[in-house]
Amino acid sequence: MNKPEFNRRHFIKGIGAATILWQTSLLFSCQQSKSISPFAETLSNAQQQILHRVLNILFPKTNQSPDIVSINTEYQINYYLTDPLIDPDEQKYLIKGIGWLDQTSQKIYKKPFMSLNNTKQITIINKILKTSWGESWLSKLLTLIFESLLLDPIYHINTNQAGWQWLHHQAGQPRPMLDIAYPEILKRKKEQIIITGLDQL
Amino acid sequence: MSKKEKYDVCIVGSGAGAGPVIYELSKAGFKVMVLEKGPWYRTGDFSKDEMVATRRSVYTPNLKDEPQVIEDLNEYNEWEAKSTYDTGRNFWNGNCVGGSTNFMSGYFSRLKPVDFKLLSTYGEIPGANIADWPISYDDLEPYYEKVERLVGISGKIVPHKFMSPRSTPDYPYPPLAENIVSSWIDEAAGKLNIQSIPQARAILSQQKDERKACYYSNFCGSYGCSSDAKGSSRVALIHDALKTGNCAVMPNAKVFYLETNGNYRIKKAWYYDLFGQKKSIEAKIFVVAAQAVETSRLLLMSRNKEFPDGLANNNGQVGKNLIFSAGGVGGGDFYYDELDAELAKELAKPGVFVNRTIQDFYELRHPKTGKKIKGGTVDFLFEHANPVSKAIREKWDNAGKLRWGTELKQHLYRYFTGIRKLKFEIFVDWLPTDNCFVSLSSKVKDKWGDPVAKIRTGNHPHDLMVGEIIADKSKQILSKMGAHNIYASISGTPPNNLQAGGCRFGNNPQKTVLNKYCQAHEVENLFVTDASFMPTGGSLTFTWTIYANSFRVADYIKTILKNNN
Repeated sequence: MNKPEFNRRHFIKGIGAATILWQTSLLFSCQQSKSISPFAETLSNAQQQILHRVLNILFPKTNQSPDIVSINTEYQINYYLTDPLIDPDEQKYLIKGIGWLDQTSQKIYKKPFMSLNNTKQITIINKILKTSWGESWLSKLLTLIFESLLLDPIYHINTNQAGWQWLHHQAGQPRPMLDIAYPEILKRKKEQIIITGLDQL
Repeated sequence: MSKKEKYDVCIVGSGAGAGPVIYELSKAGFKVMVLEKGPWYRTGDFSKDEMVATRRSVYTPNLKDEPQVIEDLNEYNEWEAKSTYDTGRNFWNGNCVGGSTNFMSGYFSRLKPVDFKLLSTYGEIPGANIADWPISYDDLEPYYEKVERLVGISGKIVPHKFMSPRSTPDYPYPPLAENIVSSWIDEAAGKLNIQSIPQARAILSQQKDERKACYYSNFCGSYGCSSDAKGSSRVALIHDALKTGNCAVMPNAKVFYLETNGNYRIKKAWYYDLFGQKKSIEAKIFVVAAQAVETSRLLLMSRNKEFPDGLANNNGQVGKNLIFSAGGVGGGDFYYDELDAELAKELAKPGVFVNRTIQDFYELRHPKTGKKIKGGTVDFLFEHANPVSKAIREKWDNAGKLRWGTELKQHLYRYFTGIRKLKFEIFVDWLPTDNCFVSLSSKVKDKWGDPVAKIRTGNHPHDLMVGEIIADKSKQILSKMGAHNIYASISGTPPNNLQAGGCRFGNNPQKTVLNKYCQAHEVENLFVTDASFMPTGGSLTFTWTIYANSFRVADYIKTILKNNN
């Protein structure tokens, strides 16, 4: 089943400055904690911790299936956040969702999300699922989990084809080599040439 | 050839509508320049990489740089325009040399004689602008046959009630290999007195010159072909055109203006080069084949004193009566654990095709009046093997609730390892109406500062009614086959990849843009050879018809150029 896309760009533009200030101060206060994932340039430590926890709730570790660490989901999310061809509003939205989730936790339990026990964290997830932004934000995270689970390992995700093996997926041939994988393939959009013979191809 | 040389023909676009003109005129010794807005992806550039094929804007423009505006009816029944940059709804496809033919699935069907005379056969339908074509099926038949040979079509002719007349007994290439499910469709349809027939494909089952046969990669539609078996305009036609020495192709050249000479003839095509510089090409004849929406946009953008409302638009017809090839989708699930192990293994076999279509419903009876009405077709196919796209579709449960956690993992595992989905696609006539057209946006501009296309996408309720009838019959077939979770969804939402109309051809210059040779009534040296010419689109995918008509027009252009010389 597909759902109509929530307009993240309009939502980003419509949020108040107060929300952003609140989020900034909260996250700044958590900067001292130790980094646990590859987001050195994109997320604060506090943001990383919340995101890591949410990803684990969405795609929990089991004995029979890959988890977000074994398929390198955080690498894929960082790649998404730093890809210059992804809409900056979409990237901001993904980051701001972390703050909004924590804000929801503060409102309901008067505590940061990371201070809650597992049951209460899941309550928060269910709570934001009932909002347009929350449903859309979690949906985006799931899409990025799926990408890290099922795209070609050339992108440093789906490590050792763990996702393909779990779901018995047979990759198509030829698989991508570095020079024709994303973003290298985009070099073709930069060619100023006139082709007059097959020998030029 | 240098850019400064004057060409016999300048062609805007390089897909199905352009390829035959490029091929024929180059072979005939005329100097041809092709301006293509997208890059040239070589065969070696293609792999089965879902990241490139569907997850990022590689084969289509970035929507921030090149949005479009789509007008849909909102909940208050008012037309509401939204930029695709805001909605993420991408209406582009295949921006590269060869256009979207690189990424097609190649389901090829000929129109039927009745499709050329829909108005005179079935009469008017209130609210629809139906018109007969100015040519007949017989005029196009030799060119359908030519496409079979040159582009390469594989299949097997099985006589049926609505079979299009043929000048040759069968396709030049034998049918592609099939999955066991094809025989199940035949059997189930037979029990319902419905004839299931093999679907022809523009995919080589055997080697043709340098092009190798299909190797059943399991990743066909949305992907470029790594063996050149798929009959893209690029490998089937443009490669041969380049061998003549008469053809030049400039990728990454975005045409934005066709300049006339003050005497109702085009003098130059202006384009942006890679660096945004404005450059021009002179030619005797200009052929536009930029896909229906962008073709209309280019003509509307080419305003001047002679054509204040856009090129060839002094009667206000450019952009009008846009149509699509669409109808609805449906499907059902087969569970491996309900089948004998050998059968399950056969069903799970990747790569080989379903290739079944039903054309028994091409003419129907109106459920209320009992009058004969135009029907449509159904194609059967497996769900695409794209794993990320498959997983994304399973994010939501039937109640529209997001799946996550253990439930999501269990669902994904069952879905990927225990089920094969058989789908069907329904095609009915998208009736032309006053609420389906292309204009220029007054608010949204692209990265070059030009107004983008605004596409109103209204459909006619008759289309949905016909689609529902066919969906019911299609679901019966799946039910007979023992499928689970059978569904159908008939929709008036247009697809982005099968666009037509906007520059109708016809004999009346007041009501059409082009004459029967797809030459503009108002501009003698302008031809439009993509699907823009079509007044009605048939109840099938019409790529074969675009190819065939482009060959037909190419013959006419050759005659003109020879006479001029």
